[in-house]
Amino acid sequence: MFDGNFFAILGAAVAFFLAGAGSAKGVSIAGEAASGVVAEDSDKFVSVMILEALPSTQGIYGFVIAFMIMAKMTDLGTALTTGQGIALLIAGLPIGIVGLFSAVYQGRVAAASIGIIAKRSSDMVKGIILTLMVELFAIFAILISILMIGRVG
Amino acid sequence: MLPETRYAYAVARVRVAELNMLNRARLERMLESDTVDGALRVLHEAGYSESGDYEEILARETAFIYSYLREISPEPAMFDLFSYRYDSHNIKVLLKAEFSGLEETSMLVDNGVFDKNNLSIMIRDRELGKLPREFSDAIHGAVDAFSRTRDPQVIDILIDRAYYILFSRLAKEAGCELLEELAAATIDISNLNSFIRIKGRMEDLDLLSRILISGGKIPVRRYLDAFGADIDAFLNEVKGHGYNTLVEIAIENKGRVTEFEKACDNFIIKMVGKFRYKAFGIGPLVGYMLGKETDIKNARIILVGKTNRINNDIIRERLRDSYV
Repeated sequence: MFDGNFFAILGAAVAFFLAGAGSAKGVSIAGEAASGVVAEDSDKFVSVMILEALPSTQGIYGFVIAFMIMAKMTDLGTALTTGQGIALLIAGLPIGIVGLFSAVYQGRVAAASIGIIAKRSSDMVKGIILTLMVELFAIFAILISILMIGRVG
Repeated sequence: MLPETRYAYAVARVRVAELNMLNRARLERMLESDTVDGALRVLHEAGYSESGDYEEILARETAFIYSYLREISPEPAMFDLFSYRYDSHNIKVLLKAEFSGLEETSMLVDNGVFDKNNLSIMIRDRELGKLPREFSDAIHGAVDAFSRTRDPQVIDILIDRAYYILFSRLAKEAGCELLEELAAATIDISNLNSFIRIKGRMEDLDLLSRILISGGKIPVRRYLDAFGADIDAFLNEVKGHGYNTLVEIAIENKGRVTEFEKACDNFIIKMVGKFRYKAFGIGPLVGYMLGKETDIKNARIILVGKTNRINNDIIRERLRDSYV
């Protein structure tokens, strides 16, 4: 049963569930902070909502990679060799693992940046820039995953 | 102790609420207003209620701080540590009333962990089982000591001491580093205060050894060893514990308690100010609470000053540093 298809599907699953779980955690941390601000001052809803949404991108990247792994399986034909399957599993790991950690940590920065908005709504952009710094590593991770999938033949 | 990220909601709320605190500019506006009403208007703009005289307004705001923080905090019981201070005040009032034979219920305050009326009955009937053991021990101790010395000051000393020990124990039990640090600083400040007062009057070492509280950063041994030596030796002893400025202020203002008290308040506010920009954890909540209490203290100083037509410069000297 541990054939190429099994490993490839495992790769798709790992890519999505790690990154997706990270995003859920990250967004929930930022979301708690956001609801705290809105409870005191509902005019700030839009600016805190944007920051709250930022850690959700890792989940999207995980989804994209899972999708690409499945598409690759179709390209390669019905039965993958074990080698191809393991290669696709490994290709799913960068976005899975980096996505998990970067989303949680980005959630923390987002919550802290929501604190900036609590003080001054006009500084929203500064908060977004600080939060996006963490995003960079998730972007590297998805690029590496894409390149790896491309090399599987 | 919950994971600190559980505090994200509460910290965000406090961060917005901090905007309404009495910063330097608001305090200056209160000072510049000619009448008490003018000063009260500044308070009202900062969210304080409007009805009643200023003591009622400030009492309502104090009650609000506690109910607000308990409502938003994921661990409301943590604020009991601070509420017990109001209980300790009530215990002192009740014991003194009992010994002097006077009813002093008007001096009782709200916001304690125990309702003031229940507490009054508990003390009257000596049913102290529900109180934390530090308090019940101290009450027995105070009754005993008072019957021997007839000095009401022993009540203050013993009950205050019990409160600090209780605070320190609960902070340790909660496993909260920040509260433990705060407890240690409070104990050190109380010890420094006792040391300087008792040394100033050259009272006996025995009294000092009974008043000092262990659990601070400066070991009790140090005070006892330094008692016979001069003050410079003591200064060297406490160097490196972070209290140099406090000790210097105390020595500069020999006998002027108000200056030292102000310096102590400022020290604590500066200490919790470190936690103000943390995004998670109980730190910003504790900071907000102590900061609001300072606000109320400052507001009272200004309002009392305005009522008695005291010169602004004199009022200004008394004001504590604000948290924001």
